[in-house]
Amino acid sequence: MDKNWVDLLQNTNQLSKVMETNRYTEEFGLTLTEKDAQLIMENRKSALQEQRRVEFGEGIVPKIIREFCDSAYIDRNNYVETIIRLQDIFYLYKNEMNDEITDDELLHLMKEQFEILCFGDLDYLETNCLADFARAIRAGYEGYKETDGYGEYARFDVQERWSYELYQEALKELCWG
Amino acid sequence: MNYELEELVPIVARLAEGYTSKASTSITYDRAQQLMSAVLYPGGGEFRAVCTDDRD
Repeated sequence: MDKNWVDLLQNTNQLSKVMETNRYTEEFGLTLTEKDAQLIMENRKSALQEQRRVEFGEGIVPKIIREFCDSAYIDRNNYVETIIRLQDIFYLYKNEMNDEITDDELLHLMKEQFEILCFGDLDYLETNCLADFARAIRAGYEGYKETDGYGEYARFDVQERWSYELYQEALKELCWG
Repeated sequence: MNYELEELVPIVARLAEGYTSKASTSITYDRAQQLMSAVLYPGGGEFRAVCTDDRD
């Protein structure tokens, strides 16, 4: 594919849009310097190339930031690297879900899984939770459309998890024999 | 009529928005190529636009 017109299509002023997100993220203690924003944009370009996708308009980064800025697992120490990883994961799963899912639906799903199932673990989000959901979408599941992606985070979760009672029991046994 | 690439790219961007019903900010290379092909008629090394209705 001729890269020239693809670059033209993607060459919108997204850097300023990303910097504008500081206005609402600073209440969560999260801000980006221009250098941070440039780093995110550079990674955006390589992620899009790797996933063979073309982005137009405002792009997804401001939306990712708005969705995740209130996360319990993001702070100023991991903010930039987390946004970069979320960007990578987003483009990957737009492909894995065959573009059946809208941007907002995927972001809502990612956020809920990140917070509730993954406890901030991006590797777990990428390799387990979203992979399970992508398989379901490829098999024809469309239930997420009714809720805009909300409330679906555990729909296809197949992991055995500890209940609170089981955890308490195991802890008692461990500590007090 | 001949069009420069810079004139056609915004048309492709608008087609992409319409194709995704503005619900996605990105599309695959394949889809983008299809959309570009929809407004192009390649010939003689120069691009000639098929669709003129979308021109501002």
